[in-house]
Amino acid sequence: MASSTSPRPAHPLRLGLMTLIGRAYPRLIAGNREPDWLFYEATLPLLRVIAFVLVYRALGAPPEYTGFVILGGAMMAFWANVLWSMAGQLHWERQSGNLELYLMAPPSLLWILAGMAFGGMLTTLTRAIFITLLGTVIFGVTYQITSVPLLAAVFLLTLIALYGLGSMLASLYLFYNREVWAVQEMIQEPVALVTGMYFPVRTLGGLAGSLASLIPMTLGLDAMRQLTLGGQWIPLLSVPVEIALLAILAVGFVAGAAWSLRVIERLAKIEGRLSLKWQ
Amino acid sequence: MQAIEVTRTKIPSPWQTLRASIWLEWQSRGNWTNPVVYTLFLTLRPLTAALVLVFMYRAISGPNAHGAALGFLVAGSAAWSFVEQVMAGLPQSVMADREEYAMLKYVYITPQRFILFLVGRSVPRMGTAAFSFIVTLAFGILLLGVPINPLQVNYPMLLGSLVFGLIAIVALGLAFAGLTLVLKRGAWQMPDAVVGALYLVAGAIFPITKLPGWLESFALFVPLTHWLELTRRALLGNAQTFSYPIADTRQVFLWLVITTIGTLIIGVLTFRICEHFARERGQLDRTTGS
Amino acid sequence: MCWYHHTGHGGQGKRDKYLESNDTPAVRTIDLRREYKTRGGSSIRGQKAGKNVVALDGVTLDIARGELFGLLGRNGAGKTTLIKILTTLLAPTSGQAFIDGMDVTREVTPVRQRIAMVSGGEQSGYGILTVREQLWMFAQFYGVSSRVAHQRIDVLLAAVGMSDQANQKVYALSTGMRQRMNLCRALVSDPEILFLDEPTVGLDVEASRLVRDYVRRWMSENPRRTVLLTTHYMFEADELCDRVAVINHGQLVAQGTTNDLKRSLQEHVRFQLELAEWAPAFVEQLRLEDGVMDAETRQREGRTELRLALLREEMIVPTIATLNNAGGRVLTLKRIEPTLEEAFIRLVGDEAEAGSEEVSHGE
Repeated sequence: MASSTSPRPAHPLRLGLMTLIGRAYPRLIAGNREPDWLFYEATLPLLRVIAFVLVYRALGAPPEYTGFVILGGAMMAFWANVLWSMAGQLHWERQSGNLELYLMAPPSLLWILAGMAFGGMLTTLTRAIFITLLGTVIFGVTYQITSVPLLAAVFLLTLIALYGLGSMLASLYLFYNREVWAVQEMIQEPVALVTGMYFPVRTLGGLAGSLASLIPMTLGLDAMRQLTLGGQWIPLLSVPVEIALLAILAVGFVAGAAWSLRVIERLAKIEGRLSLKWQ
Repeated sequence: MQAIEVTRTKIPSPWQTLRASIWLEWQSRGNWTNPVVYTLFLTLRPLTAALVLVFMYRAISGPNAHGAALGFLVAGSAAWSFVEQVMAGLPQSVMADREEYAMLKYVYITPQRFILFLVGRSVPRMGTAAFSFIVTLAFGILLLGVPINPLQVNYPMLLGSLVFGLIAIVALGLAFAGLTLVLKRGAWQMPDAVVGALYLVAGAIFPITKLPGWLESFALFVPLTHWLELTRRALLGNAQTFSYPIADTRQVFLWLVITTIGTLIIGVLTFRICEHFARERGQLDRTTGS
Repeated sequence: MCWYHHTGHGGQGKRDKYLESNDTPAVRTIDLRREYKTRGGSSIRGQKAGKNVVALDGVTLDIARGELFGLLGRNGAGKTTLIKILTTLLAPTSGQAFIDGMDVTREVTPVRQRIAMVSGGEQSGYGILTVREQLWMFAQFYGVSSRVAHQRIDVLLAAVGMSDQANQKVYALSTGMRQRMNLCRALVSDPEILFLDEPTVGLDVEASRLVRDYVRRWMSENPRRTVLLTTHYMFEADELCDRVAVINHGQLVAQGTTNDLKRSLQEHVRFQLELAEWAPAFVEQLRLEDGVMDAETRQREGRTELRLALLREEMIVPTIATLNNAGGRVLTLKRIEPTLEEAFIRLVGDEAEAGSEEVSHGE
């Protein structure tokens, strides 16, 4: 038998990327193996989108509001993914005992979360496209895309910032459990409100809208609506300003997540709460 | 060792089952935090759901509009708390018992009526939903100018329709609780999916006349449609704006009663059939690994 | 009838009486069969996907009142399936099962009034409740008044050494403590028939012993109490059970007392003798004797050990006489009993040979 020797440690970046791909894999493969997720996870937001479009129609709203709701519904899929499949996932990982395994493994937990985010983004993208396409076809919405590169930049920055925020939320699960779950349940709807998921965020008022900009989706949605929908509605800020702010948020949330993961993990170890299961 | 007189194991009275299951649900839902946070937890979601509609209304009608449509939206959204908390809550409780707590099998093999245990589990949810309903309406009346005058509300109609509405909601909850037992996948998401579908079909936030014709006809066979309409008529009186396919309130009530009875029969039957299949397939103590 | 009346050795006598009586069996199964449908994509037990996997195959079994009956088998042999059927959690595909004469499929409620179950290797419990609250709640589900329930809870918690944890939340309990609480949960309704499905899996030595000791004590307190225990631990079955059955591939392959089982599989009677001196010639001489199937000696710590395999037990007398005549002096003599584990392996084959044979339950 060959003598046992420790494997040479991989370069941290390589290890991180391997971890990212490894954790993203089950997310991606699950979509193929159990395609019924599309039914539940895409149809559900679509039903909501249809309901809100019908509300606007009952109120006699101009046609661009239908596009508002459809774009909001598509982005809502990402928000739900961040809340329940990023942050909330750590609740299940802890319950099933995986969290301890992740923490014992050599790479930073941030890479694991990045893997979840990457896998989640790709699967949610399918869902968002499904919602947008179906909503567009059902209600006959037309788009006026002014700049594809800007639209792509806004979308990417929004996702990075959003999943950074999700990782920050996830870090709370290292210390708390059910309490964070409840907070998530509580904030899902308020976030739909303050980010103007189904109406122009300016309707909230300038101050409330600016405060709501701390959630990346607010600026992201407003900018994407400006870049795709015409009409007479008033945006929150101009697209370049929104892009700049989104970039700041993206860097801030990712750095914040790295910091909070480190600090909260340490606190949880001191308090002995890392492996405490809630049942 | 202390000797104790024994009472031979018997079938628990319905009251015993209800008391213990109501208590269990209350403990598992409300015992995890302090009352302030719990109150916030109960009110924030329905309140903001209503506010989304209010701002949608304002985006179209202007920031200071207080039209009757506002009442329509807020009343429907407030009443929807019962559906979200009670109907979706029942299957969620069953799933949590089976997969999170691994206790469903132990509860199932007790001599009590399992269906009564589930009904008991829904009672605290009715209470919290009623609380959300009242807070949302109060918020709407006091801060948003929703045209509801508490002195002019038709309370007998409100409560009468609520009784039937709740029977229908629990019956639907039982049916979906049964379905979650036998579903191989998607059991966790199914309750939300159904609530979403009913949100659309029952006209929670828009008049069902806006639905395609065939769906509008289907909506008339859903008791929640009539319950929501009666709730609005009781709350808003003459301020009710959008048209409804049935003008006469007594006729709407009759529709509610008939469709509720039908739903109750279908709900209980569905639960029984699913329970039978779950036992047949050995799914009562299974985990879906979600 | 007294609850927790400590009967000491008197309990065994009463139990024997019950075992001999023609009482309705506590558990009876007749030609019980259970099949599971397999899902596509994998093959279970060599059977192709989409076909039925037989988890129980014609199981006929009687467990008398007062018996502590053990069911032994490998993973996936059908033990848990049998318990699920008997506890009304699973319907049989064919055949019948009775608890105290009542059909588990048709007379569900009366069956449930008589039974309770504890499964091992799982983290069950409503974490938000305290230990006392959880036990009280289950007492309610069995129609036990709160007053009696609290009395029983006190007694049970004291018996399993958990009085101090009565007001502790369930989620904060260790695995061992949680399993003790689960045992109390099952006993709080004072069941007549208790199903223990691998109750000591994952427990430490102390917690396992506590569970075993308490089960034995609980049985001795009332001669009508019956336990069906499934376990992987042969010493546990050997220590606890009046009778055992071995299940393999869904079929009962043997049943009887543990001693019966051990002896029935022993081809020869084995003895171990200690001799005063070393004499290889003895062995040659013994091998020529009628009925001596094998003889071997070895020296161990300055002593000579002689192992004999005889055709029948009584042949030990002439064999010793032969030894004496040849000048051998016997210091000690003992009969070597086969272990239950040896008997089990002979019945079901080696795990490694059989490979992995998990049955997918419920799919």
